Amino acid sequence: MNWEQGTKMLISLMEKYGVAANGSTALEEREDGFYLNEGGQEIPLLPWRQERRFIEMRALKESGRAGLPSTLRIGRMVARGSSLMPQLRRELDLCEWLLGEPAKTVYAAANGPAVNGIVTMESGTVCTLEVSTALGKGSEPIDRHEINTRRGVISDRAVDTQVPQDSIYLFTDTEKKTFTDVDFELYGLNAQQVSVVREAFEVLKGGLQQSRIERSAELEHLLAAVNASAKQNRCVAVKEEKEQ
Amino acid sequence: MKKPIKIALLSLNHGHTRKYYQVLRENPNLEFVGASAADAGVKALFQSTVPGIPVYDSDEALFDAHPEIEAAVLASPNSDHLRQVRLCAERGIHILSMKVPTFDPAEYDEMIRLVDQAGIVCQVELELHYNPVMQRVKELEQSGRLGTLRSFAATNITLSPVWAFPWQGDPEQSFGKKRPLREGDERWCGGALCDHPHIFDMIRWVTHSEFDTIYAQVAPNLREDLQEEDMLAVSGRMKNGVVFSLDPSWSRMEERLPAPGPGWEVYPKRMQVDITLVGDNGVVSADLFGPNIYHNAGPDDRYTVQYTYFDEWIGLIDEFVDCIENKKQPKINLRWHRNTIQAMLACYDSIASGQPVKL
Repeated sequence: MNWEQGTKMLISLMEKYGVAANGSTALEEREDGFYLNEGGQEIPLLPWRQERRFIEMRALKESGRAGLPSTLRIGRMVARGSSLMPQLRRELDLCEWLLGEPAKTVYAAANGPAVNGIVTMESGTVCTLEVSTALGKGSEPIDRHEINTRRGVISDRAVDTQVPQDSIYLFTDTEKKTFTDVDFELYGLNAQQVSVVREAFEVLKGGLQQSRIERSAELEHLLAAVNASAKQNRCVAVKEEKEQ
Repeated sequence: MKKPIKIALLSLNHGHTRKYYQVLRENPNLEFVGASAADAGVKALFQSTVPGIPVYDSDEALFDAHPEIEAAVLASPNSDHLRQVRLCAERGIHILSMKVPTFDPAEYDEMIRLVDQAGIVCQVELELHYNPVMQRVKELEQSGRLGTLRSFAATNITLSPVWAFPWQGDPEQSFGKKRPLREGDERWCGGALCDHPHIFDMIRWVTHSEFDTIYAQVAPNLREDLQEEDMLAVSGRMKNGVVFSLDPSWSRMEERLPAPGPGWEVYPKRMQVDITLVGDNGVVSADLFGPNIYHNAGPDDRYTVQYTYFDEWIGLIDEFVDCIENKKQPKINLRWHRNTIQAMLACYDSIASGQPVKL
């Protein structure tokens, strides 16, 4: 990914809306995730929080219209060769952010490119995780997030489907191609690029630099709890793992 | 033409009963001789749906009136199964058992002993073994295209049948006794987990391995007035290292109809059985009951997924008949199924202890 273009788009958004940065800004992609470099300071980004589907799911849950959540089912599969930890980090953040509460305990079972687990939240709501890196090389991620509540189901996937849908399908003699355009201001960027630019913009606009750094450290503790559970074959209290 | 096997249907109050109304009449290898009814309600429903087949008020009355009966389907609550197995074994009647023979290990062993002593066939009704999508999933895995299998994830999520089949909401009839889920929890064992053994069975069939470690957790109930669990998650590892994630919840809401029928589902789909296999070289993702049709017709004009069912019961009954005629052991016999029941019991142990259980 050429993040120069993404950085240019970020700067144009900043100029348009009069958002200032503390020095020069640049977007970076590393094996463990996306970062905003602001005047030499590296700020870890949580781009998934800018995905429209998650914003809507969270808002629906927060509004109370769906009633009390019972479970959150998370499944995410990405291409072979990808690193598993950033995927887990992403989904653990979504687990706590979508449900709006911290994890209490974690159980995980890992085997090669796959990790399955159960996270129990402070309220007793249960989140299941199925994360793997075994799709064919170059495949787009396939994921599903489903909150089951006393009034029904909130999901980012259509009922009776197994794979994500796109907004445009192009069929010609030589092409079978899909497009998912989600942002008019950032037209031309793909959905992931849009989420990274939007996240960096929200961080700068809202002064969220320190909170993102702190959240990143919390996610490291959660990942450590997942690793400890998988290695020791036990259910781990997240608080205990933090204190160690 | 072979002589058809004379078969009876007992109790008539299991969720799968009405499937047999059709199957027992249509299979040319069977002669539907009679039925016994657990109560007046199911008796009346049977008489209006299956005219011409005599129905009796007890199993004994049915068997006494029809000594020619060779086989019986135990379409009854789990708590009735041992009594009916005993009755069948005494009379040399072959048995097609519902998916949970019993959750009591001593009762289970007693059933094995009775069946062995009587020399009868006892097949457990786990119909996914005869599902064509499942057959393909198994073939794909065996072809080696996925490389080494690493993970098995499955859902068997449905609406709750307790309003139509009240015994499933009664822990003593569903689980066999009142066992608290865990300390400080007012719910009892016997809910969604007891309704969904299929995925615990399929993982053993696909991986050719047995359960090593099981961790399970219950979530807050969707149905506050239910005294058993309706939402839970299960994870762990098989002895060959394959890790798993199983969801046997009643996570799809329903209208509280007295009998299954149109409009039963509130969520558009009343059942979802998905299996995802992850190997070193790829992934298989399967919907065992798709593709379907979609409508918003009556009774509620609500968007609905209408199944385009496969009939797993054809293969299931064909195997049952073959086993009786040729004195074979069914693929899903009591001994094979014991480890599945043991794994389900381990889920309850894990829920109670809060920690994984080693099998």
